[in-house]
Amino acid sequence: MVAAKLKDIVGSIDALPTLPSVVSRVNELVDDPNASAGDINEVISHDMALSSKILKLVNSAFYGFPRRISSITHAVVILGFQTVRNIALSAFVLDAFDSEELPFGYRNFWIHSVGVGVAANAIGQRQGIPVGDDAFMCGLLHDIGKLVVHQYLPDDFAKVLDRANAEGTTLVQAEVGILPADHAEVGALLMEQWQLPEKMVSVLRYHHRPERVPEEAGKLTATVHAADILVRALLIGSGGDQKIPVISEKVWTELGLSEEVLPELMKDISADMGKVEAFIELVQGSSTAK
Amino acid sequence: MPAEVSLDSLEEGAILADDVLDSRQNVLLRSGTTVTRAHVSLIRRRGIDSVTVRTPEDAVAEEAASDPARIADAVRRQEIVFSKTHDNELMSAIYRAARVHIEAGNLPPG
Repeated sequence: MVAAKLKDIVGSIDALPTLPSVVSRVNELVDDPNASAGDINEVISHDMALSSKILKLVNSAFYGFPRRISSITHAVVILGFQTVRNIALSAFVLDAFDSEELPFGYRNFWIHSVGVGVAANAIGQRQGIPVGDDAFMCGLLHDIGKLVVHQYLPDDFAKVLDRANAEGTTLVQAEVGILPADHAEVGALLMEQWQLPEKMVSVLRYHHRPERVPEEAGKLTATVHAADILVRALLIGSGGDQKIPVISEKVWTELGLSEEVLPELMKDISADMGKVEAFIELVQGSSTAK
Repeated sequence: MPAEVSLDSLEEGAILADDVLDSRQNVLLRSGTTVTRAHVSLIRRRGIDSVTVRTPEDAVAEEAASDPARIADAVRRQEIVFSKTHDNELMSAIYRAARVHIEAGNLPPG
């Protein structure tokens, strides 16, 4: 069903990046109550490149451990299954797409995406929203549909970018009538195809329409929606357009935002951006290799 | 970008780029602290073998971040970004806070 929808949109799903079996297996183990840290280590250790990327991210300033974490088992014990799954997914996704000729810059795209992850995390922490580690992951992935559209419908994507610039709109507004589905829907379908948790799928699908999100993903979606807007306000990276979407009043209230808290949140975001260089380096590695 | 240095290479006068935490995740020394000989001894006693410090490149980046021309350029970009949202009260609040933040020298990563 999901495959059919994606096929309708991109013409072919055969060439879409598939989730590596290692990441897919880790994703299954997260939901397995009998799985141990050793089981996850056994799966990940078979992929040397992925193991080394995961350890690089785990030991980056973002996680801030005073002592070096030298094994996947140790990482799972300290960070938990879900976080290690998310880091494995980050390590894969930052390198999964053909980076050539993204008009607003592949690196800019990922700086924006990592920024939204950082901001979602900061909002969760400062406002006491119980979104945990998924906030960073969902922020990182929230616009991945744009990469799919760029790669498989390049002419239509170019029209969207031209229209957004000419008419001074956001990208999601410019997509209406040009694309068969907007980037949020395409990203959500890809997450479904990869069998990632339903909550993540909902965040991607509704990050521009947070009023419509199912309740179980409400707080996470609200956090990513607000994070996207704050990151654009601070000019961190690029989502492909020059205009900022209007924040949902429901989200503003739900997250307890106020003019007083914004300066503190913005300081948190800028400070944390200094700690995510390891994530951006993975992107640079992929873009220079291709 | 800040660099991780082993305790043996840590020199007095270095500036910490990250908080130094003990094994219970308590903050021993704050980011931005200028390291003294006493600090090195303290860190050593707690069994921590490396810390992250600012590099000369970081200092250059900080100087660039206070560059008035770059700040003015960022403020102009912000005006374009927010040009269609001035009639929205919440967006105006975000714009004001973001502008103050940028004018204070918090430029986005390049």
